[in-house]
Amino acid sequence: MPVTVRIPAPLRSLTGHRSEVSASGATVRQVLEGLALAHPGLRERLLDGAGAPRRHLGLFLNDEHLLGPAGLEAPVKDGDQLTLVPAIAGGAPELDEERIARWARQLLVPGFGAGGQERLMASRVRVVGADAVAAPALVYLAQAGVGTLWIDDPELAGPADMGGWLLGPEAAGQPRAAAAVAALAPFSRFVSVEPYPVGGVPTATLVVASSSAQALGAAEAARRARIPHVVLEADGDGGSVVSVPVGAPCYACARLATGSGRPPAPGAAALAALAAQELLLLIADPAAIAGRRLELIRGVSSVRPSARLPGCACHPPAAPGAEPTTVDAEG
Amino acid sequence: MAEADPDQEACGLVVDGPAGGEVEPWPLPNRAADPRRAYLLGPPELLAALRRLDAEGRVLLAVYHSHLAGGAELSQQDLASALVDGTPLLGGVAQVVVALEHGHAVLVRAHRWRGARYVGGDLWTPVS
Repeated sequence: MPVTVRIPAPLRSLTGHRSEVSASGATVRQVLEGLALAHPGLRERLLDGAGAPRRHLGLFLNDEHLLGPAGLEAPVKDGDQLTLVPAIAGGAPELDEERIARWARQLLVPGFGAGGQERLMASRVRVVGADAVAAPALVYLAQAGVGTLWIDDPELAGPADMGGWLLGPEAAGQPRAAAAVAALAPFSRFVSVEPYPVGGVPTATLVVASSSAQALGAAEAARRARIPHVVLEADGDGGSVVSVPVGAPCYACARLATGSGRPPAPGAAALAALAAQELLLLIADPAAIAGRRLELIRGVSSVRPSARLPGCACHPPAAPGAEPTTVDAEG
Repeated sequence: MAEADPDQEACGLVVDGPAGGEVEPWPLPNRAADPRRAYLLGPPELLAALRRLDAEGRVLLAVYHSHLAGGAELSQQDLASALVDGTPLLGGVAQVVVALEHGHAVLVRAHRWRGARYVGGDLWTPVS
């Protein structure tokens, strides 16, 4: 039976800007299925992959609001008018009042806000390395409200780890990971801080490894698992932070192969703060930043987009039939 | 309007002004089960508003709602409702969020779809 279907203005681009279209069927469901066949663009808005009506749309048959699955089986007759109405809804951030009070300042940061905080709360961050350079980053991540902080460091705490941001003399001789877990406990009761569980799959990784080989290994493992990651490289004068969102040029492409040693404590703290901030941005809004390298040399910072080295394994496979892509190494 | 009832999220439409005049907010009742933490534009009232939009030849510019706390970014629930398979349900329509703190507006942001994500911009701040 032909039925007139009224299309709301925001959806008319899917029906050739027509405000009314005709569709046939004995029930509302059949009318919708007919409409989906006639207007493929509209189909995705009407029905999900299994052919069930989506929750994003409301339906009125003449002026009666159809509710639930039973409404779809309502019979229609010649001359009936079916009106589609978008279901416009949303919800407050999943933050209780305590958490809102705890993170009130960063919730107001444009581009971060409640959505970003929710994503932080749901995140599992693996931090590879818990030495004195990593310590400020661990504190920042805990205080920012990541959901779970996994600390991955098999070494024992030594004299160089003491007296910094995190570990005191009582940590001497203890495994760094366990000592860091204990030291971070007071920083936020909203964050779960644990030693990294073997096989655990993080949502983001921060690499503050004590050797280049370890950093390359941890970064490559994250890249292969499509986990956004940030790598901190300290050297004698400062260092760099390499941010690798999913699909960006890898750490091996973007790293600096210079420098060695550790910067003095203030420099390390600044580097660690940069690294933590980059990781928080990657979690809060994965599309917000592209792959890049931030350099901090003797207190002066600079940012450069990272680029793929020719032939690197991180190059995305070319689409079938596509022209070869020219990739320039960073100059 | 968002400050008028500090116990529930305000919501409604923003439409262009008649004959090129100033844009107008069209408040609609919040029919969510828990209006302190969610909003749902009342379907019958929304139907009536859309019919009026057509009858007057007006254009829907944005959907607005308030957050009683928690800032002016789109929440995960906001995004889940606004997107169908990763694209906006309402093409070309901005999402405006009014952030309240202790019942007073502190920030208003408009989120517009830019290719692959909503990008927010301040519409109003306490010093604007």
